[in-house]
Amino acid sequence: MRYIFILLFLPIYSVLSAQNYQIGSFYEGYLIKKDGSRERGYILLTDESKRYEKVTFKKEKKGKNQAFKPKDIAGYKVADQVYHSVSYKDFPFSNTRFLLLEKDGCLKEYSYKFYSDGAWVRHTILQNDEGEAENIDTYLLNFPKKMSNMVRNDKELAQKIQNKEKGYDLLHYLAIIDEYNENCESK
Amino acid sequence: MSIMRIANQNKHLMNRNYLLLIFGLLTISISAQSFYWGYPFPQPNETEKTVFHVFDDNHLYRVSKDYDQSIFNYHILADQFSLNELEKEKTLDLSVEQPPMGLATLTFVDLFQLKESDFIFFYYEYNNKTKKNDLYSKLVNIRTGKSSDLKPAASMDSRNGNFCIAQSPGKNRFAVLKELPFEKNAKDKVEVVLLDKDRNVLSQKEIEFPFEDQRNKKHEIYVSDEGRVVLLKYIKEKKEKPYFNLYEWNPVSDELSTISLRQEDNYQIFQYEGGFLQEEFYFQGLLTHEESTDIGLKIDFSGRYSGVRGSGVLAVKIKADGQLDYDQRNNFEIMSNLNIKNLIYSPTQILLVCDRSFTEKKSKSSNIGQAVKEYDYNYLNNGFYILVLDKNTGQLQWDKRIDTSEPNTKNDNGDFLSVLSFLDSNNRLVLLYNETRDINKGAVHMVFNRRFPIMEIISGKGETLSREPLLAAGIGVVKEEPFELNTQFLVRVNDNKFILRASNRVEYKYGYVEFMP
Repeated sequence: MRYIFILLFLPIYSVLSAQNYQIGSFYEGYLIKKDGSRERGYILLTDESKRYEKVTFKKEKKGKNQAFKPKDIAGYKVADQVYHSVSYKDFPFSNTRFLLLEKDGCLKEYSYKFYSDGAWVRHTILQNDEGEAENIDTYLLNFPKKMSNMVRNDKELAQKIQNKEKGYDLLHYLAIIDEYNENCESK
Repeated sequence: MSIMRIANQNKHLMNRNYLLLIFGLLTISISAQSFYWGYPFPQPNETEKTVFHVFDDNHLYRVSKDYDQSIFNYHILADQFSLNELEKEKTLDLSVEQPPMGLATLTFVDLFQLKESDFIFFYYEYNNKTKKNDLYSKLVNIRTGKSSDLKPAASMDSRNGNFCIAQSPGKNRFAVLKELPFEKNAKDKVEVVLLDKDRNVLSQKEIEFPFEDQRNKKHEIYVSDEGRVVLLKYIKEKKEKPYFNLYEWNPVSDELSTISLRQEDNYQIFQYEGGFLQEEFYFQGLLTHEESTDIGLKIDFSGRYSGVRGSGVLAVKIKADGQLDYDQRNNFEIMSNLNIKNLIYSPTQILLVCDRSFTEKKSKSSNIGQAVKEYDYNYLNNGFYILVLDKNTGQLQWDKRIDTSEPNTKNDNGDFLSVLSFLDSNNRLVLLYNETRDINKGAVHMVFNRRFPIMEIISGKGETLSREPLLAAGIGVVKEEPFELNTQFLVRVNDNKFILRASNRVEYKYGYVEFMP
C-alpha cells in the first residue's frame, strides 16, 4: 500500500521540484477590468496558442474557474507579464486579442506570437495615446507616412520620420518609440 | 438532577470562557502585526551576487551586482517596484555597454547611494597614452537610467593595481584606496585619497608600511563624515601567523595611528564587521578556535560541523579623537559554521546576530577547462547565535544559542534558512526565521513539510519573551500556500514597518509587515 502511494506521489514531486513556471498551473496575478480596477486572484498559465485568446481566472486557490475573452476585460497579469486587450488594424482585417505589453508609455509596444509553417512568428503592434493600434507589419510598404501618423502628436518627431532622416526608419522603430515616450513624459 | 444541570451549565460557561479566552488571544496575536503582500515576479538568481534594496517616495529598488568572467566586468541591474502595491514595474540594465566587437575597457568598480534613486558609480580605465589607471565617477539615477559624464577622481601609475572605495555613513565623503601592485624587495605601500560628495579631492596620503610588499593584498577602508579614514589591513609576514592591523588617518592633523589586532595565540580573525557611528569607529571580529583547521580528516558525516569553528569575539572602538577606547576580546563556547548576518547598534549595546550555516559548493561540470562553470550549492543551518556586547566597554554581556533542525536545501541561495533581525521600539531584539513542521495529519503517514514563519522576541537581558508562529503572515503553514518566508532581506521603512520577501520555487514577492507597538 505504501509503495502505491509513493508511486502516485512521485510524478507530483517531480513537477514541484522543477524550478520554472509550469504551463497549466495557476499563479498569483490579476485581471484588469474595463473600468481600470484590478481583481486579484490566480491565473492559469497557458501556452502561446491560448494566452492571446482567453484567460482562466479564479479568485481563491480552491475557487471556481472563470474564463474571459478579450472583449470581456481590459487585460490580465501573470508571471510578471501584462496582457492588454487591444483592438488593432491588421492585414487584411482588424483583430482583438490579449497582447503582451513589451513597452509601456504614451506609445505602447505590444507583441503576440502565432505558430505558422513549423515556427513561432512574432508580431509587433503599436498603440498611441489616441488609442489607435496597428500591426507594424503593415508599415513595410509606407513606413514614413504610417509611422509619422502614429506619432503625430509629437510634430518634431513626425517630421523627422517623414523627412526620412538617418535613424528614423523601420530598423530603428524601437528608438523612435523611446524618443516619443521620453518627449511625452517630459511635457 | 438539578445539581447535574447546574454542573452542566457551569461546564458550558467554562467552555465558553475558554473559547472566549482562546479567541481573545488569537485576536491579540493576529492584530499585533499586519501584512500586505505585493505581486509575485520571476525569481532572479541571487547566488553569489551582491543584492541590496533602497527606496524613495514612490519606488522600491532591488539592485544586484555580479561579476561576469566572460566580459571582465560587472552586471548591474536595478529592478523597480511601486512602493504602494509592491508590483514590479521594470528592470534597468546599468552595466557598462559592451561594443559589438571586443570588450569595453571601462570597468565598473563600485556604486553608492547619494540620495533616494541618485547613485554614484565608480569605474576605472587604463590609459595607454599616459600609462595610468584612471578612476572615474558618474552620477546615475537608477529610476530613469540617466547619467552624467564621467568625472576623473584619481589615477594610479600602474596597470595592475586596484581601487577600493568607501562612503561615509552620512554620504558626504568618499575614501579611495589605491592598492598598488606587488613590487619585489620593496616596502608595502598604499595611497589614500579623500573625496567630497562632488568627488573633488580634499586630501591624499601615501602610507608606507614597515614590512615587505605582499602579493595577496586584503584591505578594507572606512571613512567618517568628517573625513577620518580607517584602513584594515591583512598582514602575512614570513614565518609568522597572519594578522590584521587598523590604521587611522586624520587628514586635518595628517596623523596616522596604528592599532594591532594581532592575537598572541592561535585565535585568528576569520570574519569581521566594522564601521563609523558618528565619529566613533567600531570593529567586531569573530575569532577562530585554536584547533580550527581546513587541513586533515574530519569525521563529520552530516556535514553540519564542517565550517570554521569560532570561539571568540574581538571588539575594538576608536574614539572621535582617534584614541583607542577599547580592544576587548571575549571568549565563548566553541561554535561551528558561524557567519555574521546582522550587526545592530542600540544606544548601549552592540548585537551580533550570526547564522550557524554552511554552504557546500560543487562543480557540476566534468570539463575542468570550461570557462564558465556551473555549480551545485547545498545549504545547511544549525540555528543562530546572538552575541551582545557592552557598547562602552566591548565586554560580552550575554550570548544566546538558538538551535533549529531545518532540513538542508539545494540551489535555493539558502533563502529559507537564515534569520531576519531588528530592534523594536522597546529595544528588544526581534528575530524572524522559519521552522519546518510536518502538517500531514492524515491516517496514512506521509511527511508533508511546510515552513512556519516564527517570531521570537528577546529582552535586553537575553531572555526569550515570546516565540510564536506568524499565522497572520499568510505564507507557509498550509499545503496550498506555495510562498514561504525568505530570510535574506528585511528593509526598514519606519520604526514599526518593514518590507520583507517571500518566495516559492519560481517567484519572489515583497510585502509589508507592520508591528503594532
